Amino acid sequence: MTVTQFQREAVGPDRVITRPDGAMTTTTSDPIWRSARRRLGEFAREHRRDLIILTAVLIVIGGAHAWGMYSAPARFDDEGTYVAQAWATNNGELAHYTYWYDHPPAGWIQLGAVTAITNPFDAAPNAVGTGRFAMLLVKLVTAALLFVLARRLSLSRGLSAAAVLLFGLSPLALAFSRMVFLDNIALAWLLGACVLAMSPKRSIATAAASGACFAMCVLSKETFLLSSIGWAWLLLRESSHHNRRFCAAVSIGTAAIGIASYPLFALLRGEMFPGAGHVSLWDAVRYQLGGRDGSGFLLDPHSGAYGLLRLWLGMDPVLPVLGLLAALVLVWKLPRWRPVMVVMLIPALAMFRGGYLPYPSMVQLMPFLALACVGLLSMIAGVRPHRPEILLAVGLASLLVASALWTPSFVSLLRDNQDRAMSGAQQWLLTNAKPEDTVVVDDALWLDLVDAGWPQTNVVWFYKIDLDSGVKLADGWQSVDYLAFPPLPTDVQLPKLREILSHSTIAATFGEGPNEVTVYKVDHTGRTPAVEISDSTLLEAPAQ
Amino acid sequence: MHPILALAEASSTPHIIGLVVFGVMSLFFTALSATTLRWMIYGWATPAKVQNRTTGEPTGHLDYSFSLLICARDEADVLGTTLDGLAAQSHPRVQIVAVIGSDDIATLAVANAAQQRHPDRIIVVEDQTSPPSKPASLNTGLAHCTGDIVGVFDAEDDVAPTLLEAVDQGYQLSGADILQGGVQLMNVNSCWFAARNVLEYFFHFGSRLRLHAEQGFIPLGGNTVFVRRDLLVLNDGWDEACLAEDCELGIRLSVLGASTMAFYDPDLVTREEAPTDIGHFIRQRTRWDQGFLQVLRKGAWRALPHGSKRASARLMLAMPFIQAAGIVVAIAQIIFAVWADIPIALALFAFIPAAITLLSICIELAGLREFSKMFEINVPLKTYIWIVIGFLPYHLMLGYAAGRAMWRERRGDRTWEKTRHEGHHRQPVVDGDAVVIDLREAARSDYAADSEPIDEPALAASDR
Repeated sequence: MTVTQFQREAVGPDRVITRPDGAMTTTTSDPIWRSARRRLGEFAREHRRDLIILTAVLIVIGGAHAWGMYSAPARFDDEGTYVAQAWATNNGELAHYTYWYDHPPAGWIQLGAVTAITNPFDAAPNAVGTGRFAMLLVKLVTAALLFVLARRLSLSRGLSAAAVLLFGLSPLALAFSRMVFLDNIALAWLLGACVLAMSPKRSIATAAASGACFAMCVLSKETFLLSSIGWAWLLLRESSHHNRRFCAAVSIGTAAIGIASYPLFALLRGEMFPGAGHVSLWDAVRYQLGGRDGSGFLLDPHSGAYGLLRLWLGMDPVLPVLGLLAALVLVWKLPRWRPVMVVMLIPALAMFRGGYLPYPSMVQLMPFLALACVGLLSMIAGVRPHRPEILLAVGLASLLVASALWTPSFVSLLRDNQDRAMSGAQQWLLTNAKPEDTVVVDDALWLDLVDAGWPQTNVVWFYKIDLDSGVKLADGWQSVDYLAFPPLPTDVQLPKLREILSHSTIAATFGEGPNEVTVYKVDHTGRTPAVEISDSTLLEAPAQ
Repeated sequence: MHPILALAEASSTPHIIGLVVFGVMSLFFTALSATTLRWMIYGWATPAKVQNRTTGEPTGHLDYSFSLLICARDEADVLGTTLDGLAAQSHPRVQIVAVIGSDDIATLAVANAAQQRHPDRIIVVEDQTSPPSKPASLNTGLAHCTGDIVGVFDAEDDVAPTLLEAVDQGYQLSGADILQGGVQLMNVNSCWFAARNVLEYFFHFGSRLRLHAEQGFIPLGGNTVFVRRDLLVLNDGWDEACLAEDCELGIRLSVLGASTMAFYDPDLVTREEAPTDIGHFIRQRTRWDQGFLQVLRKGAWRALPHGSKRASARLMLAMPFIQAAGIVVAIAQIIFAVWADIPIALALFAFIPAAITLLSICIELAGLREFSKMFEINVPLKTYIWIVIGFLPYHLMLGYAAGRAMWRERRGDRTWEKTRHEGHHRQPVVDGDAVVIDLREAARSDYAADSEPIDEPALAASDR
């Protein structure tokens, strides 16, 4: 029997118990910043080799990304839209025109927040370039998360680095990750959600964080909802049986509630359902799901989707084909890889459904395709662990094939100025037009003109003349002085714009082919139309 | 111009003050609901937390002796079986002290009969304190205790026979002064709010008390609680003026620096029944709430060493009342957010407490599933649905009980309102092919004493 003896001490009105072993003494805890620094130090020591390899890889792919990111690919209409909307959110508005629930606004709110910080540091030659600088940061975060994901799938450091290099150096991924797409932002969140779902801590806190990341992912780009099944499966599979039910409830609950904030937002603005005089989420979703012409079946040579597929495969035939095959093998052979691959495979399958195929759809798949290639390599090596030369041979062979197929597009992305036409048109307008003139332009030029001193009322995004009832030209076509854009999209009817064009003459043309940008001057003298709008001037430019 | 600046310029001062108050309220309720959520999930936060919920691996030796206090009033129906159960504890050194009011002839007879059956383990103490109250009886019994550790049980508790061995190990391994074991209501399907009540216990003992124990500030439960006898005697036992003597003792000893270990071993939880009558439920809850209020007013917690600890203690004791007010204010906030002229970001912010509450309902559903697997109880879909749709009515009941507690405390009415026990938690146990009906289930009889609110002093037998 060993009961500790207590002593009485009179302290104020209450008694204090003390024990001879001194267990009463309170332990003094470190201040938060010191313990944080200590933990950071421990983390760095523990993961030193990972950090060194990751840093090296990030320098390589960051360099490839940054080298020429302002001049290739050519600026694209949607990029201008997102940059302008990000600029608008920094000024307290949701968009530079009426916000019509085209996408949830979280993507460009984040873009606005990042560019507000990076603006003073980047040397972007134009507004879209500011957004592209932010995309460099997003790319580095995405690549680092891909490395962690690969490590959590038990890949070696070397193979994890290989996955990141494949993703970072593929010309297809490089081109699309340079462009200011919401998909790039959502992708970083998706990888974050997957990494947290595979946390070795298996705590409710990481599950909640994973759910929050997934919500942010979908709020950044709604199409990523297609990855939800894969993500939820991953989370369940990686959680511990001790607290699986709670992890599932917290993470899926957090994700669902987070995503529900978007319809709630519409509801609070009174724009959930259609009504007179306002836009609505309902109409927007109907439009996105079926309101516009489909792009056709992906493998039908006459479809728009096929054209897009050719564009993608033209830049990089290796990763999409090999990655998809590798993913199927991994799903078949390795149970642990199934959920991660399903994160990618469902959106990949959705491309075949024949509906509208957005231009940057490939973005969502790229890191997972790279991961699948490396995973397959690791699996082959695992089958014959005592024959490393097989791994080496397969790796070298694929490297050779990849580099041979990648080199032309890759070099072009680093060296060519593909934005010459757009820059030329921009320079022409800045030289020849005055801020008092009304100009109708591609959105890629919109913010640059506003920055150059044009009042917002005098710069009009060409779509909005027909599609936004809030945009009115006081004297019809006569209010407009100049127009500038690449070949117009064919999937939308723009009658008012075409009427203006029928009163215009071509003032200047820059570049050729799909990158061509034409500047028109409206003829206010009332003479006969100088421009014939024939189908030959309408080239297919995929628009979102 | 930025819309916030524009708003500041266009609005009148009262409007801006209104918006600021609205924002601060939203922030407060966000913190509140997040705290509640943390209390709920702490026990499952990591796999290690789940594995550590027991008293630890057997050490192979037993070091302590125990005195178990059991106070009963008008419990003749259930007390006999409970005493037999306690006497059957596998631990070798157990003294059972049954404290019975000297005027309660029937219960006294049952206790004496049990004493005859187990003369080496049970002693019966006649309690003559007036008016009778549970803490007074506990103090009467304490004077007769001889064991190193004093444990408290209620007259209708189903106690696991190996509990004391586990508690002995817990004392050996943790070096704690106080051990709080799990108490679990079992009758999850008996009425619409029973599942919510069951889950309250599930999260309270399975998660929240473990967090409080780790933080060094714990309101103890009313039974399955173990304290070193010397510590109890030195600190004058229980507070006889308090309606929540269990909570009060926990706070008082915590303030003195006593360390507590809380454990929730599914095999060792003490099983109880949830009230199925709204009147009884509200009277029981009123008593707890009023007890919390007394402890809050008594102010022993003010002596805690850190400001943050004092703040969290104050929050914990005031929680029933804050929650009661919270449910009303939260609904008002949402109505405001939808219909009043409030900036969209602020309106969205006002929904965060509701979102966290929604999340806690998801966790409750997961908890119900966990409960049904843990105790192998069949829970039909209907019960899950009641968890969801019963949220608001249940919290309105809690709110009413909290208001009633404040009203009674204000009037100075501190009488006990007794809870009735029907033995719902003693379901037939399937043992091989034979169906063994618990003795007490068979012995159950109508217990009409509590069909009307009792204002005369009566001893409560059921508590946390």
